Amino acid sequence: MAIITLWYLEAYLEEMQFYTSIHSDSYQLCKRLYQQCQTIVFSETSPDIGSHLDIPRAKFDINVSAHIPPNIVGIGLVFASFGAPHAHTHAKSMVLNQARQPRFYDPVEDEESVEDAEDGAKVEEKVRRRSLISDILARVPTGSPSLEEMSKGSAFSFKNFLKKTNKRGKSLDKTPSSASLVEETREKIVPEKSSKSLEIDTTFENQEDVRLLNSHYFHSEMQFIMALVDISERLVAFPKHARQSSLIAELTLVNHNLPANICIPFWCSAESSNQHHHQICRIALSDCVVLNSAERVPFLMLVEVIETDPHNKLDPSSPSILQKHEDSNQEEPRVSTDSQRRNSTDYYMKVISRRQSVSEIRQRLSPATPTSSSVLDGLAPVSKHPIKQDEYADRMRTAAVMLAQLYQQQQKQLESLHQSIRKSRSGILTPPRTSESGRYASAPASPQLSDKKQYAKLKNDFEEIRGRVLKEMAILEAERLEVLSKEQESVGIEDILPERNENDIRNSLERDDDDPSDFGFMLMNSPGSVGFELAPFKLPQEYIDVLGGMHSEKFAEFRTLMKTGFLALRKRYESIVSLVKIMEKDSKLPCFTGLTKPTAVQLTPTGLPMPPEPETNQKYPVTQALIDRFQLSLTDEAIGEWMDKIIDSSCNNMFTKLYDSFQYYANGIL
Amino acid sequence: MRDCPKGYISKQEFSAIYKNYFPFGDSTKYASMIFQLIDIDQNNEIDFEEFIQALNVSAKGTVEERLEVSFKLFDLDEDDRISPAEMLAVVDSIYRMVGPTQVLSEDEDTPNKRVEKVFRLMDKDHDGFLSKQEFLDGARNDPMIMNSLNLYAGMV
Repeated sequence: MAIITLWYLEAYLEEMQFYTSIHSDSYQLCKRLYQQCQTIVFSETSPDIGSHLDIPRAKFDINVSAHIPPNIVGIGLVFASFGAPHAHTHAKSMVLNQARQPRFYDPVEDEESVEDAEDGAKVEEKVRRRSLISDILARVPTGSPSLEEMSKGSAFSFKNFLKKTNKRGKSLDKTPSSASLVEETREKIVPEKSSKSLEIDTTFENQEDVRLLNSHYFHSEMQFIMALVDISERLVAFPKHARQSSLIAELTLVNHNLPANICIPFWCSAESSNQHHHQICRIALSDCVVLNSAERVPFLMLVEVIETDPHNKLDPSSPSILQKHEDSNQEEPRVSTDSQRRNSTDYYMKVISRRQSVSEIRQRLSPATPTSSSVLDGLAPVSKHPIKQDEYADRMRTAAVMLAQLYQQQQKQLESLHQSIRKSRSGILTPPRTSESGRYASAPASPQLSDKKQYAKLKNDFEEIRGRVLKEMAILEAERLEVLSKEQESVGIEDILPERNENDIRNSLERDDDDPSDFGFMLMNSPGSVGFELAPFKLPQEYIDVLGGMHSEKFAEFRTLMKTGFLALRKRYESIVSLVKIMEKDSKLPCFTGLTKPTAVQLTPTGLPMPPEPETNQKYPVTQALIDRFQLSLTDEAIGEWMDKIIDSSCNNMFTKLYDSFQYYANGIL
Repeated sequence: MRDCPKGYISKQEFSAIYKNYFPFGDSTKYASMIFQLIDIDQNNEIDFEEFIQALNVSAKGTVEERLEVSFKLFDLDEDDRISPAEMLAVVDSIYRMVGPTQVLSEDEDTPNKRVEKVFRLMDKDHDGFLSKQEFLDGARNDPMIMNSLNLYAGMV
């Protein structure tokens, strides 16, 4: 609970720093709150309600140390005193406050100055106060544990924590006792935060001891989360395909430091009444996933925890938690992964994303920090690792960039190839338009029969659906006399009749669903960007066989059906064409942009030049092509003849065969 | 040393620090004056030694030492006496830096007035200049000045 509060305060503080000015009241308030919380959490002596106010004030008695910026101003003020004695009032407090900040960098100096002081009692006092503040500051983790610590495997351990705080110049008389403290705890893993029954033989009172443990808990908790957040930050620098593996590497490192006395606060079932945290024991490395977003890299991970059973009173003298307790006959602490598996990911997502926002803000505040450098404590010396990581990240980045460039080049080449082909293709295709009036049978691939079984099946289907088709045709004829309204068309037409292009459009337009047909193929393009589809429509040999041969009765029926269908369609061409026209205007879709320009002169089959189209249509080449397909200028009988011609030319068109084989070899489509 | 990894402070950095502390005023003039004061060897950099010397005088030295250095600050042409013009220049820069945050009494709320007041009080022989002795005496007699001179009292 407390640690969540702390985090929230931290997050607010950072946000406020960014969005509002530092001098605003809310910021100051937040900052004060935050600092007080820190004091409460991390200080060694237990603060009462009143006393925690004293601790910050105790700072004021400490002497000034030689920080450069405040002292420069201080010097200036001193010398300005003659000219303007009032000048200092404004800045004095600020200068002094800042100058009084303890110096972190030279612990040696602190000790020296301790020795130099004459008065023994005064030394004690000074040292105690100084250490108080510096202790507090030491325990506030400013960054995730360093690489060194992590690699040793004990980043979150109590021993480590003590070491850190001891380094801070804790007064000399305390060090022997803390050393013994270290000894004791090496054998014991402290299970719970509030175990007052901890028997540690030191000169500390139990109270202080507990506080130390408490601050250790907070400390390691914060460090753990910071470590995870930093992983995410570091991953941003990596190219996307390398992220997964680097995530695994990073998590391995974290794993090295588990099990530790850490829980996941949002999710821990501990409250003030029930002080039983769960403990993270392992991160499942095989189950972590990187999710890429635009600016950040959240990741999912699976965490295995051990829940300490509330009924089990674990004896701190036992060497490990995992051992079954003697006098309990209940279940041993269960490793509960499965039930939490689902939840953990959700929860963790929440946590991670929230931490993301905090870290992002932090990143914004300090843009100079390179994302791939590891965040160090103020204490740990700079290790070689950040440099190597940087290099590695750089190399990966350059590799990724190079790859991207190569790929782009390749794409460009492919594109130019496409273009040249397209040009030549449009060259091929436009002349035939004048003779055949551009009926491109770019129908979607019809199933090609490859063996007898399918053949039989197709025949069956065909028979079945043919009846339907006939019915539908009859309906069409009837309905065209009525008011135009929605008509239900059989889906079957689509499957069977090769003359799919126009009926397709019709179906999809008049069906009331949102099925987006592939207009591209219908209108203009042909797959493979080679002029395969030169047949008016697809009528392969199998279909003819199904129908019983070119001179069969069925085939004749087919012909008549085609004609009637086409005629019926022609009467409704306007609705279809207007739709396409609307779509075509300013459209970037490839089916509309494939056509380069409308042809100049179009001849009807009878040889007479067509009357010039109304001007508007010139701007809509695809629409124009569609209109042409409808053969509006022919009489009904002429249509009949024309249809025959079409059908005959489609029968066994070699281009159809060619196209089918192309599809087979290129795309594996049968 | 971590504060300035180069090992010295340049004039710009110096000014910048002052600017940080006095955001409402224009501290450039005064900062350069102080800079010149501290930069003993006049190489346009304050190195650590110079800094420590300055700090020593301000924080740990005697009042006399501080007054001596202050005198140097005001005596721009180094002729061992302070003319009103010199003092005006310095005081003006201070006022500029401290800016509108200060509420001053009627008789010294502009640099001019302040200079006049000082000369009135301290120029005993009325020669229009402040000699070093007059300076020292005058300062010692003024409690406010003494107060602010001892900014660092007891804190080192």
